[in-house]
Amino acid sequence: MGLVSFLVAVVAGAALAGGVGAVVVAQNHPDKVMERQQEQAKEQGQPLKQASEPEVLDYGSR
Amino acid sequence: MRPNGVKLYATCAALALAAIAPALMPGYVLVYDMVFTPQQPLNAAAFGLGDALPRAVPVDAVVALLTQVVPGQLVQKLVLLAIVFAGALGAGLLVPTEKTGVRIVAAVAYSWNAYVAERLFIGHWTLLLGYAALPWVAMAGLKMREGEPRAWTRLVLASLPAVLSAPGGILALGTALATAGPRKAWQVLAVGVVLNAPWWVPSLLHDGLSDPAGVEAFSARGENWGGPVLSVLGLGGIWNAEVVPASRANPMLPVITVLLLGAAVLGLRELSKRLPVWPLAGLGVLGAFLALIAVLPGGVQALEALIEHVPGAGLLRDSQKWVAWLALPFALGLAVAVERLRARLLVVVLLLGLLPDLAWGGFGRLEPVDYPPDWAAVREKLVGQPGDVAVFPLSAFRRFDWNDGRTQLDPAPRYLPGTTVVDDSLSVGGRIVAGEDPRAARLRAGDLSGVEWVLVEHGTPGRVDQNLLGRLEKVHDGPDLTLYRVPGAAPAAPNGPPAAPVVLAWVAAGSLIGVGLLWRRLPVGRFSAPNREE
Repeated sequence: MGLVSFLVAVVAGAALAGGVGAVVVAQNHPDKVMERQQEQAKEQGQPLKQASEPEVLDYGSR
Repeated sequence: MRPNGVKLYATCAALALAAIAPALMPGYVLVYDMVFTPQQPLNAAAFGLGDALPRAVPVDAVVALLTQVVPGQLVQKLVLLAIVFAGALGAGLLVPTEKTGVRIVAAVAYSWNAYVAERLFIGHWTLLLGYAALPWVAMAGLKMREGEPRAWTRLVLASLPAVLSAPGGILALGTALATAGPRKAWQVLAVGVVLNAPWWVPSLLHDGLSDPAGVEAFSARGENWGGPVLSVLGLGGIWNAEVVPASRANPMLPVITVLLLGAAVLGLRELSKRLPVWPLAGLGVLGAFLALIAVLPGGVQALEALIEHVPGAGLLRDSQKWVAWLALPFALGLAVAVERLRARLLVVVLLLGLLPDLAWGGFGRLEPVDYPPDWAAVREKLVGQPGDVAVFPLSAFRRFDWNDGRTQLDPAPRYLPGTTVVDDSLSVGGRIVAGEDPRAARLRAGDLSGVEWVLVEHGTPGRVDQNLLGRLEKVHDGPDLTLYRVPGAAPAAPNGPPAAPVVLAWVAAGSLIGVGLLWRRLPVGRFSAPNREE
């Protein structure tokens, strides 16, 4: 029983580490970095290069 | 047995608060398909009598009725809390065990998973209400199987949140059939057919076919190196990458999914000695198969052919939703598998830790906002006025600054009184999936026939034909909305399905609910002899 608990703890630890890694990777995704840079530029009053908006908004993307 | 352990209720309440807490602040959570308004209009479309396919029937009618007496934002908050709380509690109570810790594992596994997170973030709250009802439907089905008198009334009541939408109604019917067993199948079918009549009757009368392009656009999607198969078996795999929590890219996830599923199967073997659980597990396998059908060889072609020729087969697009059937046997099996372990708390931590970004409403995904004052002003102008409203820009979805740029369904049809015509075609990654409303198609061609008002929403992407607006009479001009009257417009002739069968469907469903309630409360139900055949 102790071994099973140990294994579950190992798997849980690895999963948590993987999850944290995934969140960190997502935060550093180029889109996110771009968003942060744009927000910084907005705060500093620098002109933003706006992309043209689509005519029909996407429901989502795959 | 202590099914009413305070710990279980407290855990379910904590789960609901952990996931939904930010949404409880004042305002409306407007995200993708989730739209609530202060007072939803009670119009023909809400009952399935509009021109478009009745996709939000009967839920629109029910929410419209509720918001006549309760503010829309309160309804929304209660619904969101109920989804997590009731789903978790139902799953916990369904496990035949004396250990509250085991119930808690089932509760967490059922309500804190990728299915709940992804469908919540895409705003499919009616589907999730159906999902939350499934454990309660299963309990009712099991009571019917045991031959408990009046168990059918329990089934009617448990199915009510599910039958608010077509997918929810089908999920509940399947679960009820699997749990009640073949001897009670006819009773279950009869209840299911009548309760679901408010959506299937107008849908059949519409004979509308969906665009088969939706099959591929809305097929299950791989969220990590495990691909769509392991994503779906882990209860995720929704088509829209934008609503997938970042933690679903966890590289350990495919391995853990296999381990958890293996444990759940072992648990189901043990559970089968106490409950007839294999039909439920079979239904789970069917759900996973349906969810994956569009990514299997030949699946897209088969589904496209079906959707192109069979009215109503559009329900099979976005087929990942059917994996909901897998969640209940998974949660029950996993809970029983860990019954003899001392590491139950660790399993709970593992389940929560695998999806940390469901907490706090997905950290910013479910934040309530207030509608700008223009919306109430335009509504005031239209109250009591005849005529349908066409809404521009022509796009089903909006992205307003006042909602932090979140993608959201156009709120106009649920905010404004009367009937509203909006573009119902969908764009997925730039690829257009055609809508079904003939009036929206005419609108796209610049035809305003049958439209007496035009509303232009500002601050959202999309062009508006200025030549068209130049011919109209401005009635309200605000920073967020401009309302025009169409000079000399003639009212639109009703083009929905015939009213009589739709009314009959509503009367039948309402009567069954009424009789079910009376049967439970009045002595007449108690005279029915218990079924001794089983």
